Amino acid sequence: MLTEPVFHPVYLPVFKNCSLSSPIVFFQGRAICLAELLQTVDFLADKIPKHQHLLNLYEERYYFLLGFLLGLKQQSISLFPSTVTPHVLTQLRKNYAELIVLSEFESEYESSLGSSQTVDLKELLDKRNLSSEKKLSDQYLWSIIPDIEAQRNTVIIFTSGSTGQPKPYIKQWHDLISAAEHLTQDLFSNSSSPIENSNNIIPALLATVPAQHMYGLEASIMVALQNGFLLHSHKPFFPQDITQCLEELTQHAHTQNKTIETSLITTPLHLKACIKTEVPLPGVKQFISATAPLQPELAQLCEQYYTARVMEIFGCTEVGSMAYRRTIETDQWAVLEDISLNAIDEHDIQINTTRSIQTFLFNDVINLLNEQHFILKGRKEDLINLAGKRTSLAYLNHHLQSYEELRDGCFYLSSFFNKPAIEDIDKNIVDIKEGQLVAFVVLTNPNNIAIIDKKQMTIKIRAWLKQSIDSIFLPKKIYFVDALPRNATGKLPQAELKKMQEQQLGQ
Amino acid sequence: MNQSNTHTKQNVQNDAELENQTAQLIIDTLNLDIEITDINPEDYLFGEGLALDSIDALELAMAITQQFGFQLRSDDSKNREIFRSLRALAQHIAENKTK
Repeated sequence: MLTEPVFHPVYLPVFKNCSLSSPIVFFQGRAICLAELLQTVDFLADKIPKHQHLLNLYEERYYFLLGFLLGLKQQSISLFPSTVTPHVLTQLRKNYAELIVLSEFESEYESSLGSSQTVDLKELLDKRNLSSEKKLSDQYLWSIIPDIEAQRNTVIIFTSGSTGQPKPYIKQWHDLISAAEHLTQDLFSNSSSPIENSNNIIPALLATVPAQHMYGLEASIMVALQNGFLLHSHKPFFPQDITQCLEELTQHAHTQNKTIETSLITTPLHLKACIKTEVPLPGVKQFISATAPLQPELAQLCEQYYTARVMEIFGCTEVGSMAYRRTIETDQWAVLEDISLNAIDEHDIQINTTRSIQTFLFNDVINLLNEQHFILKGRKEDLINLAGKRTSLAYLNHHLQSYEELRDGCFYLSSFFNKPAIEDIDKNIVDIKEGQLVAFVVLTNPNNIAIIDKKQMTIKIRAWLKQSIDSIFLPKKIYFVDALPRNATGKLPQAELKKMQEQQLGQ
Repeated sequence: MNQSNTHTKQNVQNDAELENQTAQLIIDTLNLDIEITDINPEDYLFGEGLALDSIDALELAMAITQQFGFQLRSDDSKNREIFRSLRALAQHIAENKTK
């Protein structure tokens, strides 16, 4: 007799490779161990009732982590929008029931938060009276965040959405675990160091990218939790900030008579900033770069100057981390073990994965070498990727053209490169700015072009665009022209736009 | 000796010169299509005004380090102030420059 297959849920742990005394997060000059972190989550869970959805806006990774763990404990879903604007918050409140916001009260988001229920973890913890809390048993501590069902929806992460509407992608627990496991296997496993030494080494992570973005979430938060790595709480911005965080970690290790080995989770822009300003980066074992292609020359310089490996991750919000390479060794990307690729037609490459999204079409133009390897040729023409944020020219053009004082207009991603400074020529760096977004506009009344104040008009156009477009995508320059070089079908050939910009620059 | 006494005519001139130098640095670094005189020294550099973004801030930080020989840091609470306006940035450069 045939029986229905019984579905046995699989449960996966949040913390791996660590004990209750393992240092987990480095915050305000000290390493907080797992026992203390769990006890704090338990304290917060007692103060904050369970909500179905949780919007975690903390930049400081200690508070982010507390919010994230609270969500896992209370079976809430953490929401991570790509940008937080009043409009986005209104949408989230409308679309997601029982939403609670975790944020500093005096944050940059303050004006956007309005009437939504906001809890500042920092304030709650400041009021906490630690001495009145009883000591928790090891057994109880381990039970605070039990293993999580693999299929449970834990995170909803949003792409900026090329149509302007943020698009939600649900991440089940096993999606995050799978990415972290395979990143660990290919980028963080320490096969080169003899195992008998490992007790003297503290592996650590420091990230210049937000924990709320897919790359930051997987490569900093999830990799740290799944390996018991010490995570620095800060998100440093300037090169000097990075140095300071690294020095703190080094000093911490020194007091323990140990050596620190830090992976810096970062972007090409920050790598360039470090090299250009020649800051010391003590204790860096490797750099991980993502969000934009890294120039091999820059990777080479970083490897030499800092004697640390430079690895790149390729991924997207929809799938997560997908592939990696050591930039100085190869231009080929190798996919993570839970990913495979196949060509479905001449132009489209499909990503197949055991993660819950299952399949996804590549947004980029690639050369497929085999199921596991590819070479990145570029983005599909319409897509623009700046600072890890994505939009499409069509979306930008739509908003530009809807301005009533314009008859026509378009954006153009110019490949204009900064002239290398003299110091850079010595170091053989070319500027890695991906390009510069400019706009061409045709005024409704072209006769006005001689008499209008172009500066005033530029300000007005920018103000118009700012209402609907992320400020990263605002045009750096606006050119006033008589007409756009549209072809017979009304399309705008890139070559023509390039020519037009060259003419404008020559004027 | 109080602040106003030390602020001689020469200093005022230096301030104006450094402000111009800083404005030129911003324009050159970010390929802005404007003249020095287009930047109101009191205008916001980020958000409103010139509407620079965080990528621009990092580009500027690199250029400032190369030209004036010091590193910017964001740990002091003054950071938001430093990048508030051209005048504030020039003032910060004046206080920290080593070349």
